[in-house]
Amino acid sequence: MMALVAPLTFAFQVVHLENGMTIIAEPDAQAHSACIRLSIRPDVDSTVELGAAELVSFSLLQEADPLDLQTLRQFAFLAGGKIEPGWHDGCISLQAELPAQNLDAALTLFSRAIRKEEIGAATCELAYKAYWRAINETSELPCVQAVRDFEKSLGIGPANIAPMKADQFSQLRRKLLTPSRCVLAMTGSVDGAAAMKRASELFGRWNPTPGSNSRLPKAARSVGGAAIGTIVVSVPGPPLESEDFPAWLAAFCAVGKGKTCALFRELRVNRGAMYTWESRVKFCKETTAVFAFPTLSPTEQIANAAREAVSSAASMSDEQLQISKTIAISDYESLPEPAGGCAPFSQGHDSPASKAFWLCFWQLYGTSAANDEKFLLKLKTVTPQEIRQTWSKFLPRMKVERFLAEPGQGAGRQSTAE
Amino acid sequence: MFPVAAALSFLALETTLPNGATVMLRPVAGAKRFAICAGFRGGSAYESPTTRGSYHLLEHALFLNSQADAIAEAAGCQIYAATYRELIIVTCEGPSERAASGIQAMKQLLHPISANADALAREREVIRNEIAIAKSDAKRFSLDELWNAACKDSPFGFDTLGDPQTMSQFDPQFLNNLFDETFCGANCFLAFSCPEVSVKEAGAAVAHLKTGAPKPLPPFPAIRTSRTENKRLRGVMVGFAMQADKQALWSVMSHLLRIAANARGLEIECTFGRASSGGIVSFWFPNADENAVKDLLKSFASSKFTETQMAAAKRLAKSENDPQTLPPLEAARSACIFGALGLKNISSADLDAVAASQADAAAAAFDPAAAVWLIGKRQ
Repeated sequence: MMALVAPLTFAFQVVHLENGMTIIAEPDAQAHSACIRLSIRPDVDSTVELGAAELVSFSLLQEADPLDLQTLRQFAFLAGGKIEPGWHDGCISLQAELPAQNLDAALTLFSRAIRKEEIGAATCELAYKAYWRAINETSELPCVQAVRDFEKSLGIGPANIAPMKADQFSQLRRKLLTPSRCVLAMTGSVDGAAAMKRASELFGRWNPTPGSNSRLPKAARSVGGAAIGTIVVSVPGPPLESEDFPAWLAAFCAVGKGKTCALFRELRVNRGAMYTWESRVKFCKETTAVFAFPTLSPTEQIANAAREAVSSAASMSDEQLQISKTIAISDYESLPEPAGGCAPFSQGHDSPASKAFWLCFWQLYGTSAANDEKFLLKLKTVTPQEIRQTWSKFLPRMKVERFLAEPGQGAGRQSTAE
Repeated sequence: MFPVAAALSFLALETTLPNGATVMLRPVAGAKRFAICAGFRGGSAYESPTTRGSYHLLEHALFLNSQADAIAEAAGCQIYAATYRELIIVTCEGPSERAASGIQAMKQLLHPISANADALAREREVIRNEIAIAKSDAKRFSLDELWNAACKDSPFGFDTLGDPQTMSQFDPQFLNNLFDETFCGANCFLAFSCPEVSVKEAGAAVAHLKTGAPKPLPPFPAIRTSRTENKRLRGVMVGFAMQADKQALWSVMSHLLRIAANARGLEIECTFGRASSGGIVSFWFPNADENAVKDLLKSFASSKFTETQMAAAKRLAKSENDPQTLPPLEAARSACIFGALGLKNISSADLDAVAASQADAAAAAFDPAAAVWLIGKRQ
């Protein structure tokens, strides 16, 4: 057994392997299926490195035995689940939702995929095609390309990466996929002790030779843009483990969650300037709130109105901020998984997949999975005064940007304010 | 409180209120969330070229000056609405223990509109934004195109979002007349999924509505087959006419096709466009080419299904339809749609009753020549 520490706290068990990897199991006898989620938060600093990590996420299952993978996918499919690699917020992941009896096979598949040290040229090409197809497919959707460009300009989003040779790609994978920055969470109808033992055996063998990420090539290619303009606003925030974070999150909800939020009231009800909008919290490099809405009128006037709406959380009434806190608590406790996949503070804890997501998230971003429960308690005690003060602290670094529609040409940035 | 024990919570309870509204309970045992869906007959299939978008604008106008959002969100719930071809559905969902607030929010929302002409003009701008967003999503836009091609010359071919130019003719009085004939008890089908709520409590959301007159459901047209190339799509979309009285069979068939596609490594997504007297089931094959989909359909149309395939398809169909396993929102939404369209709910027993021989016969309907095709030409 590779375990150094195996304490039992809350409802989950956690094991830290000698190679630095963390394995967590939270069984739920009532669940219809099991979920395993493997998340890696690579040590990256620049937008180019982030882009490289995004590209690597598309390579994870490319060299898996096609028969094994197809069989497992069929089992998962027939149980209403799926097996897929993912990329979110600087985190590379592999997730499988499937019947518990297929857990062992999925763990084997994942451990082989993650331990693969040399990647062939064909895999490299397949990964690059899948990566570029994903970028292209979403580029015309409202907000997507504008937000991607905006986040890149802030240094919190990935740059587009050009193809590279197999040996360079292998080096890159070894640099980014390291056990010390990896968490495996197993939830749902799993046998906790057996799953823990098996996962420890399989992933205990993972001791990669060091890699490098030299000479990462940025892509010269551009992608198409949406046929509608976008206004994007960002506000930085405190680290996840900071005492200020719960109050800051409540302020984030006051600005951009629900239909009583400031953005909805000012931009949609008062001005008719938008239909829908996105609000998300990112944790790349530093915590950042990003608000974005597609609009047929991406004018300076609307951008200024957006700026004022985002600022208004610093002066909202106690009653309004109480609603925002209620939304934050309700979302965290029970909101279903977002259709587009896992996202922090935009989903609850209902399904095995959401539980696995949160266990990985808190372990990788907030030092311990135990913070999951502690956070909710803190959020419940936040006062309106703390919410106003915390938001005010970060407002001076707010950024607002307008992106105009240029169908087929890429969303062109027109100007930068603040 | 109605005595619905958790062990019996799968039993559906239904009643008709004095104003004619149908109330259906679909309690989901142990669910942490509730959902309430109120479906009203109305939507783009009831429109003419001169009234296009009227139901959609009315749906938006309900929220103007209403306290419904504030009541819902103060309790950690959400309330929203959407307009389809034959239905407007108002939904409220949130934590189970706040179901009473959801009912209150719904009741608050369903009142004649109080917005003035300026507010309506702003809301038309909101809808212009909504239409632009929908049109920039190639897949969403293509689904509308498919309906348009299949139901040409019928209001079922109209885009559900409507036409902002036409909408500018609708003043508050016009919309309130439309409100009276749409948001009335006789047109209301309310479904509620929360184990702790009684029929009477749930019915309070719509009990205040006038009785009104039931709207007749519009006849579904014969589907026109066609093949259209689309430069924005990367993949193939294909639609087939669906018989309204064979919902269980079509549900199983859609999963048999999904299994067959999966075995060929083809990605597939299925969308049911249900109508009271017909409908279109469409399949989206991302990144696939026309020949691969044609080969799949040709082979599928002459299939003889094994018991193993049937069992797998039925298991998948049950997971999508069985009120015992559906999440609260889907349970309420499904009951509301089927009730309002006068369709028979798909039960596990109905799915079990689908025989392999029926599926073999039904597969012939997947003949590529009987389909509406949208062929993506994007590289």
